[in-house]
Amino acid sequence: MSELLKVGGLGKSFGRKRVLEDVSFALEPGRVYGFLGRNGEGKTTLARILMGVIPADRGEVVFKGEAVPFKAAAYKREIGYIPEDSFFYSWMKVMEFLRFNGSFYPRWDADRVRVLCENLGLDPKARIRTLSRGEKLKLGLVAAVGAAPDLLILDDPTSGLDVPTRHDFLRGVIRDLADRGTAVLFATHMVHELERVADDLLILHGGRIILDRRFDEVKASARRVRLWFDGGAPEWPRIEGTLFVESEAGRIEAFVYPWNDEAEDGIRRLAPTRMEVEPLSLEEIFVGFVGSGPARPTARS
Amino acid sequence: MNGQLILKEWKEKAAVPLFALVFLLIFVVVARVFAQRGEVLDILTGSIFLAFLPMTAVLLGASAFYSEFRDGAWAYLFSRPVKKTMIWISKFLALFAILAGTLFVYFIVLSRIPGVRERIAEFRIPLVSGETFSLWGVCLTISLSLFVIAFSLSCFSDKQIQDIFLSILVFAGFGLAFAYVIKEVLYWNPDFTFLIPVVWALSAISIGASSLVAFGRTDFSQAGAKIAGFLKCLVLFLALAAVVVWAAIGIGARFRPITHIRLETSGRNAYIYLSRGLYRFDSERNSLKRLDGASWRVWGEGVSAGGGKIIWSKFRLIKKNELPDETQEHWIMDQDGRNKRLLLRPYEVESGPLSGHYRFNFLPSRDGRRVVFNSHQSGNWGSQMLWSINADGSGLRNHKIDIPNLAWAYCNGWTADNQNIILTVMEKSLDNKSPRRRNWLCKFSLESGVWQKFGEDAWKSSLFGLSPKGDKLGTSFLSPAAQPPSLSGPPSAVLRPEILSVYDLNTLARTDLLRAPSIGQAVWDPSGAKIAYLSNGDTRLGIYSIAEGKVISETALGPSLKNYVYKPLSWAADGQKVVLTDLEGSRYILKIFDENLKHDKTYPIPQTETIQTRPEVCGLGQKVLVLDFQKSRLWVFDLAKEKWRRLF
Repeated sequence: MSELLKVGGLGKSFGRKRVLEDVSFALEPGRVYGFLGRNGEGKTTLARILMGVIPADRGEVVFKGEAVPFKAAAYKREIGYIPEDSFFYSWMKVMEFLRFNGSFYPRWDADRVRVLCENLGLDPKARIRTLSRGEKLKLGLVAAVGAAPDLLILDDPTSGLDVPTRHDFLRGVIRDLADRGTAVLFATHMVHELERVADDLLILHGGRIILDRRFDEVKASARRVRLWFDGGAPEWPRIEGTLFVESEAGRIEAFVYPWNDEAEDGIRRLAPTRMEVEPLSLEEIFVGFVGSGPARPTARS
Repeated sequence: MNGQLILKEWKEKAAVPLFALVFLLIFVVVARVFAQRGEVLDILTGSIFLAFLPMTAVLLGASAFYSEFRDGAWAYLFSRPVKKTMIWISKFLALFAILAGTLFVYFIVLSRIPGVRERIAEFRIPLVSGETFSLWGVCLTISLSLFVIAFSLSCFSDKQIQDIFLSILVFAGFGLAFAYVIKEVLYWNPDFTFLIPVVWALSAISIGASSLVAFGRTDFSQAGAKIAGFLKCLVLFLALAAVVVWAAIGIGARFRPITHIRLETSGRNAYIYLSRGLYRFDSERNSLKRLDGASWRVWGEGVSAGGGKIIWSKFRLIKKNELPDETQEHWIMDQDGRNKRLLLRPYEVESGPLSGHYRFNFLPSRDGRRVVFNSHQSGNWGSQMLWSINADGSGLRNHKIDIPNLAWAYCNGWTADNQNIILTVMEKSLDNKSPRRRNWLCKFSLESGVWQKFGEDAWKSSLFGLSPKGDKLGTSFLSPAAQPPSLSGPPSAVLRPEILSVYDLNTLARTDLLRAPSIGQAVWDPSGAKIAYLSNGDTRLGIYSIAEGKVISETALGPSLKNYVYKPLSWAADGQKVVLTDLEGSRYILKIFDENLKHDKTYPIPQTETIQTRPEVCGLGQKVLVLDFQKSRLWVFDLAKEKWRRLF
């Protein structure tokens, strides 16, 4: 499938702090990309660079086969963006804001916007300053979706939302958009939420994308291994894909990705008295990749 | 430009013009109620135009990006598919329209209220050096500048109140800095009064342009980067603005109306001193070169006969076309325009013996090494002094003028050996009943300090003067029967000399060359061998040969003017021709005679039909310069091509 967005070698520093080192990945249409990273790892920075809000220090962004420099604006007509924080003009009314926003987009679908507002229970005459956080999120979503974007970038918009609203948002909107062909880059801290919608998983750590795989594949290949030994536990062997190892009196627990015959053989050579292998949750996979210690080896599809 | 963004700005900032309109109503009511109280209307009008409207402007400008920072909407706005520069421009235009509308309504309404209307028309705001500007002009300049500055700063700061104070500080800072630069560095010149609002506007435009450029390129997530980007652009744009101002001054000075022309010649070159600067005309190359002058006025002082040095004065102007003595500086340079140096600073700032002395009558020696000049203590002509100084500024000496009862002493020139100067001196009148004052010629040795008086009652030696080599001095005398003029009496009788004489400056021996009624101007030819002279009330032109000791040719001229005016006379074509200007009908003509005065040609001097003052004439190689004092024009006549060219 053709790439909608391609990012290559992106780097960004704030003063002496290097936030993005060498970020490269690609997005395809009709897929939801779960975008994970610890606080301060640069998810928001990356989203802002993609939206032309701030410039990258190096690297390139290619949208629909064309490189987009920092000053370019036209490509943003096909991208929806919901920032992390509330971003509205609080003095505006809902419909006024949507009209204002729509003026920037030639593909703005006013009818669809009206229907979306009704479906999401947004009062068009309400002042934005009177809206709840969930309603503001809905408004942002309508503003983003109304432009019929080919790519939607969500920068952790669901944090602070109640569970039903979040559930509606993920299932009712994000999945629906992807099914219509929109690529969604969904950055969030709510790791478990991605399990409901994500097709692919991107993990940003140490200024690089260290995991870029199909979500199902990651789930299928990540394992927690528990080993028991008589007496002291031996030293953990050099097994490629070890994400996490914890050893204590006669017991070892490790996260391994990808789990394959080679890894299993290597572990069995330790001759444990008992061995348990079970799948990892997404949260555990995330922790395994970005937990304490040095950046993990990159896993790219 | 984005219409929706402009509309959004208008909605968002609607409170500002509404608030201004409410105040306008209050102002109108107050003006009506206190219509008879002049002091109230004074304060009201001043407050509105100098405080309220500028404050409204700065408030409006500072609010430009306030909502984007307050609501966190900047990331939203910048992520829209519109270029950041377009966001800046759209917002600027939207707010500018609000400000322009507000100012317009204020002006229209207030200019119809009796009392306020007159004050708007009459108020003059002094800004620099007494120059005044209209109330409305100052209000517009301040308001628009403050608006641009505040708008520009608001892009980079999320604190509106901070922007307001910073804008005022920046505006005041730039205003003071430019005023200082204009006044102190450029030597304030009223011709550049217009630059005050221009430089304010330019500084505001520079700030605005920096903001626009930085806005489009800067990383708004980093405060330091924003400000650094802005400041970098600002330095660039201010430098550009400075270049523009400098160029405007240079161009303005070159095209400044000419209010005076003074001409000095040396060799084949003429040195032309104008209000625009100091120029050199090379008669051989037929080229004009600007040697000095920019925002200052220059005044000719002297050119050394041997081609060494030029001395000129520079003045700051305090008022238009006035040359105040206290700002006068004296400069010296080589005749090719190189090695310019300040010889004497303005007498007000000069320390040492020349402190407080007004200096005049500068005369460089023939070899250009020394300069003599006169001075008097400011306001006291009776205390005239004589000084000499080396051309490099060293060796300043005061020379005691050993002439009893001296009124004034005028330097005529240096002798050939560069050791002595020839002066014309005048004694004070001793007897009020008989206010006859006597002229003398003097030879003064700078080394020995010896004064030698000669030539009692020599007549206006400046009309004849030193020979080109400096070995002889030409002068003239009244007939013994005639009485010298009384300076305090009525100018009833027109006295003109009847004896043309020459002094040998080594022996100071006098030789009377000829006697003729009413002798006019006499000039040495470039070799010093012949003298052309006018006589018989300027109706006869003659040439006297020194070698032959007699008049070698003479011719009749047209009738002289009724008024007592000398006909200007000069040699040209290296002594091959004699030229003079005369009146023919209603216009002036240039008459050119060959050296035998046998043949003459007449050429009308262009554009002299309406002038009253006879144009001066000066031969210079194969060119003749004709100076029209009245219109401040300088013409060049090419003897070979017989064509006129206007130099200035």
